[in-house]
Parts: sequence; C-alpha cells; structure tokens
Amino acid sequence: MSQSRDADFDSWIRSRYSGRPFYVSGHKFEKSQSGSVLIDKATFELEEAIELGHMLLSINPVSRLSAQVAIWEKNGTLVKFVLVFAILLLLIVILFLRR
Amino acid sequence: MLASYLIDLQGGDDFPGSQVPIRERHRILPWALLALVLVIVGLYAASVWLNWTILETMYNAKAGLDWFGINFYGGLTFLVAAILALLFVNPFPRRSDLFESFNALIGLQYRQTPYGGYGSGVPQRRVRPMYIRPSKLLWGFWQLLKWTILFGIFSVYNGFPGFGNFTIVVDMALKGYGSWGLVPQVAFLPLSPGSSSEIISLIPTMEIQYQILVYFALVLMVVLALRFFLKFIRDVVIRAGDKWLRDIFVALSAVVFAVFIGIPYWGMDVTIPYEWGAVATVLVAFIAMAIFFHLSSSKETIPLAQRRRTAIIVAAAIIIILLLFNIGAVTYYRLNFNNNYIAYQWNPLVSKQVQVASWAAGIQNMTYSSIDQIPPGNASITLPLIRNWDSNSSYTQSQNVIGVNWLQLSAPSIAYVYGQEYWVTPTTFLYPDTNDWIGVHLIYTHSSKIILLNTHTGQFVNVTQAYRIPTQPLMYYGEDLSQTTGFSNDVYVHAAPNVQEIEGVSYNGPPDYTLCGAQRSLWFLEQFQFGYAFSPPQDCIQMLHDREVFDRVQNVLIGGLVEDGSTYLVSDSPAGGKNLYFAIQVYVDYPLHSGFANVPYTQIQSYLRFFGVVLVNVATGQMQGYTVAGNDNFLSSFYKQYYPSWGTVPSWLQSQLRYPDQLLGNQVFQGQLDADFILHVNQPSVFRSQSDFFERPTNTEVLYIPFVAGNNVSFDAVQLVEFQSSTGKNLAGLYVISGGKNLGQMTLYQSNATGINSSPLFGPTAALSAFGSDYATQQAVTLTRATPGNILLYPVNGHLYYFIPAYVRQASGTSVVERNPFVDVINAQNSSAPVRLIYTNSSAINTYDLTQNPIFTNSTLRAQYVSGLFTSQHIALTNSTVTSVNIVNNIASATYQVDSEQNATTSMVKHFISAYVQNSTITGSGLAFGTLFYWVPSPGTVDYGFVVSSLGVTKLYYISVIVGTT
Repeated sequence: MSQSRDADFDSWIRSRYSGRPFYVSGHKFEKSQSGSVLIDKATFELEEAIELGHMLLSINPVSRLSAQVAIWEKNGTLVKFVLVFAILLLLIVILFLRR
Repeated sequence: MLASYLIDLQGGDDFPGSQVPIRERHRILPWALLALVLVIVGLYAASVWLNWTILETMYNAKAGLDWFGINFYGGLTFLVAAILALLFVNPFPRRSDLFESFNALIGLQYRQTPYGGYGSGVPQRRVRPMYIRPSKLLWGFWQLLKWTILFGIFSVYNGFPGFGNFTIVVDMALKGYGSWGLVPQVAFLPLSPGSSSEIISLIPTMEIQYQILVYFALVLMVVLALRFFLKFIRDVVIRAGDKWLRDIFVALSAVVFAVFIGIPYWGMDVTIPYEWGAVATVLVAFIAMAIFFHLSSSKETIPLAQRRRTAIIVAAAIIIILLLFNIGAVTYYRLNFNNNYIAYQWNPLVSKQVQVASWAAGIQNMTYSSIDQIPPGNASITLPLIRNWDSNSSYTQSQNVIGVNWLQLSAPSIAYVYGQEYWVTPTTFLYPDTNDWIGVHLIYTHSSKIILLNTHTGQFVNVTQAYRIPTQPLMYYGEDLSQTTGFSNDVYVHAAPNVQEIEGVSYNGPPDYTLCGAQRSLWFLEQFQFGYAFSPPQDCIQMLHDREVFDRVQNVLIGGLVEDGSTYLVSDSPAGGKNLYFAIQVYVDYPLHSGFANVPYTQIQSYLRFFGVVLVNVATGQMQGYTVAGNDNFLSSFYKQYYPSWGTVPSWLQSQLRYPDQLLGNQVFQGQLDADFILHVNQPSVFRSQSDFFERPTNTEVLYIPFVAGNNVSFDAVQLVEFQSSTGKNLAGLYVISGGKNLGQMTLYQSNATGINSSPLFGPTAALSAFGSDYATQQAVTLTRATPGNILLYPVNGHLYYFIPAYVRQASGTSVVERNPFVDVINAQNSSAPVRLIYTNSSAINTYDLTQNPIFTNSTLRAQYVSGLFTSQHIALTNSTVTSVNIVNNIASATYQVDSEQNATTSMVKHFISAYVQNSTITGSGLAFGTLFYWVPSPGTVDYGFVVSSLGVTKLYYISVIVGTT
C-alpha cells in the first residue's frame, strides 16, 4: 500500500504538469508555474517537496511529525501555535500559579 | 543662536502687507520667553532652597535632628535615583528604540500603489527607503533629558513608582543589616522551605539584599519589556523577518522572570517546588524561543534541516513534559487540599504563617488567659473611675466654656492624669476673617484654652490643677481639625510694633526661624506681601513654622514610620517641670514581602511595632522624642540610627504613656489586634473551621480606661471582641494592652463558647440591645429622649459589667449643653439579670448599686476623711488661716484625689500627728490656742497646721493634702 502511494506520488511530482492537486496524508500538494510546490499553501522547492512527500508517507512516526513541523513552520501555523501556546503559558503563570 | 534658529524655522517670510520684516519684529520675543522661564526656574529653585534651609535650621534647633539627612537618607535618595535612571539610558550611541519605532510608524505613509494609478487597488506597505538615525547631539540630548526626568521622578518616590521605597532598602544594606551570604538560601526557599524560626531569621536578608536584587531585576525587566515592545512595533512595521517574534518572546521572558524572581516571597504550601518548576520551565521556554527567533531572523531559513527539526521537537517535548509534570502535581495537590489539610497546607504554610505573622505583627508575646482570670479590681477604686461622660458629650459640653469667638474645639482625647481620668479638649483657631492676612499670621498666634472634663463627674477642671502646673502655657503649637487650617498657618512674632498678638501677650520662646534680607523678601514675595518683602518694619522677622503638631513630627519621619492618629497632653510636672506637651505616638508599619508574614484572611502583611513618642512643647514647639522599641529586630535598630537624640522614656513620662490605638487597629486601619483575631488560633482544625476567629464589633473600638487590678490602676487600652459573624453577639474576649510602667504588655482574656459557668457572655452589641429593650430604660428614654453613649466593660469585684450612660441634648440645631440623666449597668455574665438603671442625681450613682459600702467619690468626703484622722485622736480642729507667724515649716504634702491614694495619705497624716502634733519636744507645753488649724490655700488643697510659741518666736508646722475639687 505504502509503496504504491510512494509510486503514485513520484509519478505525480515528476510529471511535467499536473493541473490537479495531490493529497499525501491529508496534505495538499500543488505545483506552481514557477516550478515550486505548494504544500498546504507553503512554498517549497521541488526537491524539498519530494523529500517531504516521502517523509509523510513513511511508516516512521518521527519522520511524519518532522515533515508536519516543516510544513507548519513554512506556512505560519507553527508560529500561530507557538504564540497561542505562549499566551496560554503566560496565563497559567499569572492566573494559576502566581500568588 | 537659539533665537535665530527658531526664526529660521519660521522661514523668515514677511507678513503680507507688512513693511517690516518678521525677523526684526520678533527678535526680542524668544529672548523674553527664555528670560521669563529662567526667572521662574530661578525663583522656584530659590524657594525650594529657602524652604529646605528653614526646615533644616528649625529641626536642628528645636529637635536636634538633621531634616535633610532624614528626608533624603543622607543624600542616598539622589544617588539611588541617579543609578535607577541610568538603566533607562540607551547604551548604544545614536540608537533609540523610541525614535526607531517612531521612524518606522512614520514610514507607513510611504505606500506604493499598484500600477494603474491611485484608487485602483489597496495600498501596499513597503520599507521606508532610508532610516534616519538621530545625530549624536540629538541622541545625547534625548538621553540626558530622559535621565533628568526619571531622576526627578525616582527622587520623589525614592525608587520606581509603585515598586516601593528602594532608597531605604539600600540604606539598610549599607548600614550592615541583612547578609549577602544568605541570598542563595532565600533564592532556593521554594525548593527547601525553612522552619518558621528560619524564615524569621531570613526576613532581614529577604527585605534587604534579596530585595535589592529583585528591585533591580524588576526595573531592568521593565526597561527590557518596554524596549522590546518598541522594537516589536518597528519590526512589525518594516517586516524584518522573525524579529517581531523575538521581540515578543523577550518581552514575555521579562514578565515571567519578574514573576520567577519573586517566588521566594510567596507563601509556600506543599505545591511550591512544582510551582517553582513550572514557572522556571515557562521562563526557559520563552528565553529559548527568543533565542531561536533571534537566530532564525538573522540568517536564511533552512526549514528542512533534519537536525533543526529534531531539536525543535525534542525541546518542545521536554518543555511540555516538564510543564505537564509540574502543573499536574500542583493540580493534584490542590484537588486534595481538603482531605489533606494538615499535611498539604497547615504544616508547610499556615502554621508557619501563625508564627511568622505573629512575630511580624508584634503580638508574639501576647498572654492568653481565661476571661475568669480578669483581675478583680477594688470596687472602691473602680467605681469612682467609671466613665459617665463619653467623647461626644464631653465635646458638646466643652463648647460652652470656650468663652471667645476666635477659638473652637479640637478633638477631645482621653487622658489619665494623677489618678483621674479626663477628657482633654485643646482649642484651635476660628478666624473671624480667614482672608485677613494680618489676623491669621500676626494677631491670632496662639490658643489659650485647654478644657478638661472629669469623665466620671462631668465637672470641668482647671488644666493647672489636673496637670499640677503653675500656669497654663499659651499654645502656639497645636492640633488642627481636619480640613481646616489654624496651627498649620505660620505666624510672625515681634514683627510689627503696631500689631499686637491676641490677648495682649507676646511670644517669649525661641523662634523657629528668623527671616532676614533676601530670604525675607523671597518668603513674603511668595505670599504677595510686598510690604513685608521690600519695606518691612524691621529687617529680620521671627517666624513660628509648621506649628500643626502632626505635620511638625511627620516632617522628620522616614519611610515606614507612621504617626498614630490621636495625640494627648502630658506634663513634666512629676519631674518638677511646668510644661505641657502634645505626645505624638510613632509606630513602625513596614510592609514585608514574604507571604509567611501575611495574616490569613486579611491584608495584614507588615512589620508592626510601637517605636516611640515625640513630645512637642505646646508653648515653644521644642521637640523631644523617646523610643520605646528595643533593638531586637533590624527595623527598630535601623530607625533608631536616624534619631540619635531620642533617648529612652524617662520615668516621669512612662507613667503617662499609653499604647497607640491605630497601631492596635480600628474600624479604618487594620492593626495588631486584627492580626491576633486570627492568629490566636493555633489548632489546625479550629483554624480551618474559623470557629474561634474574632471580629471587632461595629460600634466599638479600642478604648482607654483606668484598669484596676487589686488596688493598682493603670491606663490601659481595651478592645472587646465578638466571635466572627456570631448571631448571638456574645463576648468572645477582652484584649487589655497596658499603659504606664507595663507599656505594651498585651493580654487576651478569652471566653469560650459557653462562657463563665456555662453561661454565654454578653457582647457589646448585645449589651446595647439590652439597653434598648429594658422596660425601665425605655420609659426613661421616652421621657427624656436620651441616647446611649459609650459601651464600656469594667470588672467590679471580679464580675463584668457594662456601663452605658445616656445623654440628653437638644434635638436640632447646635447644642452646647448635654445632660447625663442616667446610666445603665448591665451584667455581662448573666443575660437574664435585670438592667440596673442608675439615676445620676441619686446617691446610687456612688455605688451603681453594686456595693453596699459608700464609695469615696468626691473631695468633700476625702477632706472629711482626713479631718477624721485628727479628730479620732481627740485633736481639736479650727477652720482658720494662720498668717502672723515668724517661721513656717511645711512638713510634708500628700495627694489624695483618688481612693488608691488613701493609704499613703493616712500614713503621712498619722506620722504628722505622732511626730509633731503629739511630740512634746516640739509642742512644749502644748499647741498654741489649743487647737489644730486647717485652711484652704487654693482650690482642692487643705492645709493642717499648728502654731507653737517659744521665746517670743512663733512657728507654724503644717502639712498639705491635695484632695481635688471633684
């Protein structure tokens, strides 16, 4: 199954043009006219996108998480998460812990 | 130069139609403005200098104190302010975060519209093409201006506004209090909390050395947070990569660090190590984030670097695990607080708070006793001292003896003088015309009335008689009513030959300051008195300054020393003096940071101690302080260093001192007793249940009464307390705080829930209710429209009684007469006992129907008693003044104004009889005229004497007995 998905992904990404997006583990891969690849609206070089695609399709959960973080970092989700988490921590310190 | 610069800014254009260039017409204006500003600044500086000179000179001469050194901590105020202000100076030349953020915001107007012209799309921001740095001159000027403004603010507040007095902390450190070596122990208290005694021993270091670190860190964090907030604005506007994230996390780190460094001050229950761990984790996380975003913003991002992703994931995992562990532990313990109260809260926190807060509040030496152990006072001593006249009735009555239209009453104060209790009401000014400068400052210079009312009989007593001074001194210094000015006005004495002080007197003491020459001109110029400024009657004018006694003392109190809100008069007559003084009580109220010093369920978290008393001579304004605090703690010891001229209390003053009521607490200020209302409970289950906490009944406060123990009387502060939120309004206890020779000795006579003999005790609220519901009292009230007065509890022969006098006054308008028709005596130990209604015009008022024997209550009876000592020896007495003798021999004198002095008087009289009257070696063949004479040389004094004649020389031997007039 996984090898089949890898092959599908390879054939999609190495093809010259594909007007339709490709979904890998819920992540949306789109090719742009400039040759870069948009993954969840984050722009990656082609080689990066290939590596990310394989990581997402890996059975290793750490690799999948690593790829996930890379996408979040690139599309700004990680920053938003970090800011929300920071505010939450600050509230914990000030409201829950501080006397 | 400045003028031409300003003019250049205007552009130098001529006004349309004008024939004269603007440059010429306005050349003078900037110079005139500059001159005006310089004059105003110069006058203000001169005024400050003159005021400081006056205060320094006055307090040096009249109090032996260094005003400047006290108010500015020997100049340390300015040094500390200068250093703190330096923290706000940008250390990098030509860099200014404020300027840069402002520059960036200005850059917002540089917008680029899409091709196609205006109005065809949304404007896009772009980075301003050029960043203009301030010149070195402008940068230097801005840093200097900022430093100067902050220096001024920090000097006024002795530190950063809202962060407390930092100068005093530095001063204590410089004087050697606390220890730097103990700082690590303080810092790691959350991980290894000490015992209550260890915490008490660490308090000096916590309040000094650790506080210095915390204070500096907090100010630094404020600077850091402000600077990075400004950077955040700049970086967001110019879109400088991830720098705005770095700025946010630096600011957040500053906030969390400010919390983290304060953790050793927290009250520490079982969760404290985990709370410390959680805050530390958050702090480390924020700092890591700040570093991460700083690094990521300074180089090209490599989103797919495996090592970096792994590091992020591992770091995030560690932080989350640590946070979950610590917060989980805190949550677990908190959820189990109720079923593990002793292990989780009482032992680590509350029991230590009971110990540490008791020490901090100064109630650690409180004696706890059962209410049935109240000393059984001698009834014959107690009953003549019962207060039938309260403060309000005294005030009303005293108004009708003022006698003049330019005086009004100050607040009455209770005083116990030579064995008798009085309401002492000094007077202050009621100017006929408050706008008459001459009247306020030259004519109405003094008050000459002090009104004393015997609290038992309601009779007025002369101040000279009560205080045993030859004449009443004129009061040039006194107490003002709130919201009015009187003694707070300066007066000028011997200033104008044609203007005389009221009552035709002239001040004969030393002036507070003498204004001469330029100082005089400046002083009176400020008051728009141009005559006294430039053409005075004489060059030097003597001034009495800061005459309001509370202000006068407040001016020389450093931070943490507080004046008690009430003052009273004392005299040095026991030491042979002739002076009257206002006694201003001063106590230490220094806020402590440690949560262990907090009294649970209250806001009390201060170090409280009675520090001393300052006497202000009513006639001359001379000030002398005396300290009552020991050197058993760092604060009292530190404060004493500022008042080297204050000695220990002399014996003549000791007997007149009482304990400050504001320090004990009242309806407005929480004090030592409020702390003990909670902290007297040291059993965990009772503490948790709050069943034995006390409260101050709403209609009572600390009252001073002559407290009789056996035959000894001391003027003690008494506070009645009820159980907290008790519906029965039962008396829970009685706090007695000694005055006089046992000053400060505190005792709680504590009831238990069922009271003496299993009968609950009446509380003061219940006693008042009994007053209102008693049938006979209701009838009397209906007839007289009387209202109840003070509610005082006295022990009489070991039994507790409330005494509630009733007063009749004019229902409306300004009443100057009040009558005390009856007194209700209510048995506090038996709620079913009938209320005794005692009419004051009946003989029962002598005993309140509480004893069978007559009580010596007035001077007539006391004089009769003394006379009886002679007649019982078959010595004839004749009322006649002896005048024509050659030699007068005053053998002795005795005071018999209260019954406690009866024994001493009896001994003296018996000695006079045996050693003189019946001594044949003195009398020879017998008394001349065969009788002993007695006469009244002055009101309240009876002399007894006999005449012997030998070889044509007549000798008078006599004794004096002061029996008083009431």
